[in-house]
Amino acid sequence: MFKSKILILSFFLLTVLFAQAQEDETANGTVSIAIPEVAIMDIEGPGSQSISLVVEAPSEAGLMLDLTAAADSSLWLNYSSVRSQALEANRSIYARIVSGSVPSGLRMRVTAGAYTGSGDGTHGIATNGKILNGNDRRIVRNIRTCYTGDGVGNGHRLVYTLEYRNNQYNRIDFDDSNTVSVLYTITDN
Amino acid sequence: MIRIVSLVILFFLSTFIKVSAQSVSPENNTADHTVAIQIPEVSLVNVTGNSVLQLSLVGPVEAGRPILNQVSDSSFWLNYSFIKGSSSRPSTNIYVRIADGSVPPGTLLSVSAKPYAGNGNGSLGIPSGNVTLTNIEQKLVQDIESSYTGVGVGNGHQMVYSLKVNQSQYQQLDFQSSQQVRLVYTISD
Repeated sequence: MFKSKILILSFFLLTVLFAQAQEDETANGTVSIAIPEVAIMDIEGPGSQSISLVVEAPSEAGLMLDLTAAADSSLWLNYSSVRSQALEANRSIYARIVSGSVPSGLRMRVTAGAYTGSGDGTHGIATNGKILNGNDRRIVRNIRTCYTGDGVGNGHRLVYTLEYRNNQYNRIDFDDSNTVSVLYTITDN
Repeated sequence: MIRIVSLVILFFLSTFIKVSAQSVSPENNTADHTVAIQIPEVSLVNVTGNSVLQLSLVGPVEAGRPILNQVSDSSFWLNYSFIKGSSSRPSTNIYVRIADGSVPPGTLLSVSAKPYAGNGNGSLGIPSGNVTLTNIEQKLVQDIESSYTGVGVGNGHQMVYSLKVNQSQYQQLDFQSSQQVRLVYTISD
């Protein structure tokens, strides 16, 4: 019983294949188009992606430390996204500190600029600047299907600044100079 | 038979899903970089006020009386900026000494700092008390941690200078021994 069913099935399949092979007056093919899900991102800088925020000594006795030079805007956020309407209507990019800590008495803010560059699609919207800590803070939101273009000048410029923490000037310590690693993640369901 | 067929179909489906899941697995949907934060060593001190301070002992108004015992001035302010290094110099002090000249015989010149006032911030210093000036450094303000006083008159520690007659040396007073004295303030741990 089992064998005979297999035989019948095989015969049927062979017949179909044979029939198609013979039919060469009209060509009939199917094209299968597969679109991959894409969620990749990168940070680009003019050279290395390491930046320095250098706090300057005051110029006169009685003045506070000068934070105006402790800023950097050399890095750019690049990304490519192809979203699935069903799985993830839009994506976000988050940033957090994964190692090191910002020196006592100070805090570090990162602000993404509006998208600019040679890309196409529905780019993300930069959020207001965020103070970075060990938890994910959203830097760019509402990324749909798009690409930013590659390298400096494409995507969102990242502006890093240092700020004073309220009433913690006494905790500032030059032995506390430190290196901090910041991790960016584009969400991907 | 139906079971076998459905099992085969399930197997095919699961393989297909596996393959497609692998093909979209994002390889770099994160990126990280480092931020070096540098804080400078700072220790600055300044005295602000009206250029030269003149202290004049006043003669008696009536024969038989001594010259006025004491004259004071409180027009000068001590401004400073300091950033500590917790392991190398956790706090600092301000010292004062006579660098040039000497106090006229029969008189004593002293200075004291008032408690901090102004628009600075941080862990400001504590007055060390009244100091009779000599050419040896003496502590005027102590236990300064990371702080700044603000700049100019009205910010920092108001200083009170006093010139008085040393009663035990009244006989040494000599109107031709009027002197100019140069004081040096040093911020040092």
